[in-house]
Amino acid sequence: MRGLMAYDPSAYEARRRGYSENYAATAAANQYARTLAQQRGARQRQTALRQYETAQPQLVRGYSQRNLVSPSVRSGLFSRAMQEFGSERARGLSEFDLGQAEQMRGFDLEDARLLQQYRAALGDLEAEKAKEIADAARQLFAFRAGAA
Amino acid sequence: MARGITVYGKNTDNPYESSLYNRGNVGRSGFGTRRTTKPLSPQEQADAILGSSAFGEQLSGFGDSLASLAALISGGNQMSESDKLAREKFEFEKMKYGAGSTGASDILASRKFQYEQQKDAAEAERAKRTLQAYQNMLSGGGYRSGMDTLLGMIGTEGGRQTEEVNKAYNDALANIAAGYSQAQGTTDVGFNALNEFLRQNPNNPYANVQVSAGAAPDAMEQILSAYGVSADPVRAQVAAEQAAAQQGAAGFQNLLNVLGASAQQSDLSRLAESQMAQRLAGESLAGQQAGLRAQALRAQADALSAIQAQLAQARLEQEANAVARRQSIEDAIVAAGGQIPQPSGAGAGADAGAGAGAGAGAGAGAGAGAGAGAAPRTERVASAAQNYGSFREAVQALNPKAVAELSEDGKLSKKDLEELKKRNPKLAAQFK
Repeated sequence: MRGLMAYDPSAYEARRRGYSENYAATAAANQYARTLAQQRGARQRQTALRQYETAQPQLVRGYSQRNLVSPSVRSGLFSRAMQEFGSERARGLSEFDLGQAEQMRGFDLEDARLLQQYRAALGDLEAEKAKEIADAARQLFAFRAGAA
Repeated sequence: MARGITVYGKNTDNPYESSLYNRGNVGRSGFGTRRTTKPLSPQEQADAILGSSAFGEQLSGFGDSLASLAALISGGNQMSESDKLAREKFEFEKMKYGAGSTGASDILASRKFQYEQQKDAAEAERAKRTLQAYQNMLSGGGYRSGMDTLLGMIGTEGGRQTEEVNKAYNDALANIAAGYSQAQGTTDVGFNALNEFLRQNPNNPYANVQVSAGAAPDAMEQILSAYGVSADPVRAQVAAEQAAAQQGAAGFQNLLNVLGASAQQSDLSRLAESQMAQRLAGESLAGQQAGLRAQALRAQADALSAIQAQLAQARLEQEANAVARRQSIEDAIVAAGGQIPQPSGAGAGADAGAGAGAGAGAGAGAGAGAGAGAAPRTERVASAAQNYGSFREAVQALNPKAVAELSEDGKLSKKDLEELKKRNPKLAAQFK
């Protein structure tokens, strides 16, 4: 008779705690990195906005010194320059926002992946535990019936 | 026995003779010198003879003289005790030394003949009784009474062992059933816990991820209008950027959807795996239970077969012993010149039939009963007193059907015995 395999739930609980702690640590690190990236992105966006706000008066001042713009003069060059500035500002901010959003999505994706990995590990753990319980029950049955 | 009173002597040196002549009055004729002396009385003559220590030694060869002397002694009117002793001693010595060729030897031969006749008659009677006993044993089946008891014990022991085997088998089946139920319950507990976990923890974390295109930057419309510049190109650029952002968000959402679907598929796969494992565990337990049942059944069959084989062997040995014993009794009857009683009817050849039946297990029981009934019933009833110790034993052996009607367990009360005596008056008469 080979040795009877005893079901030990403590081993599974230890593994469950390990999974939980690992998930908590990695998810927290991911969230922290996300927060830092978000804050960094927000500061950079503010910096970019300030740069655009600083550049816009300088642009008007340059065309004004060349008498291409005044309360009574509206040159086509000035108008096109202002429209290009506006478009450039919109493109720059959009690219920045898009990059920031993609970075946040990366963090969110990592967060979801960690959660999915954690739950999958727990599911595998439960399945393994159920199989071991079934195997132990089968062995106990054989042992009880004297066939082991 | 009187043969005259003449005494013959060979010579005068014979001390007895001389003593006779010296003291007695017996005349002497024939050989030697005749003397006439004062005759002795018979008592004196006997005393003279018996007083000599050499009397016995000298008797041989003087048979006639001694016979005459005996006649003389017996002819006395008054026989004293010493006379009787003398006569007995004379008769003894006469027989011892063969004196009297026609008298003592004849007596001796006659007595020997009578003794041998009595001895032969006793031996013949004993042989007759022995022969009768053998014949009774053969006809009454008494020669196998001990074997029938042994066969009964063997059958009882076989029944007990069979009951034990069946009990062990039933216990094993109950144990298997209880173990299966418990194992099935434990298995269900494990898998139910897994299923509950999977239901409570749907593994689709991507469904909760918020995806947005973000706010579009302003088009500087106020500034541009303040300078009298149209904002349409800027609004077109903002719209284009917004569209690009939305496309990026949609792409990410698609990615999340794919990942979520994959996670859900994994979840369903795990659930299906759990159900499959649960079913497989149940099937495994059921198969194991069936295997254990078959194993127990096989063990029971093997044990019962072994018991039957042992019983058959034991019965066969007993029946072989019965046949051998019957044969030895028949041989003894034949050697004694007797006639072997021939059983008739169903009892004929019971030993042979029983011996053959013993190999078939159950047949041995019938064989045992048939062996006891080797002789016809009338003979067995007639000789019941010789073969059985009591009416109870006899009726149990000779009328088991009636016993079974009155008592299921075979135990007979006084009332039952009275009833059986009424039903079997001839048998009862044997034990009065």
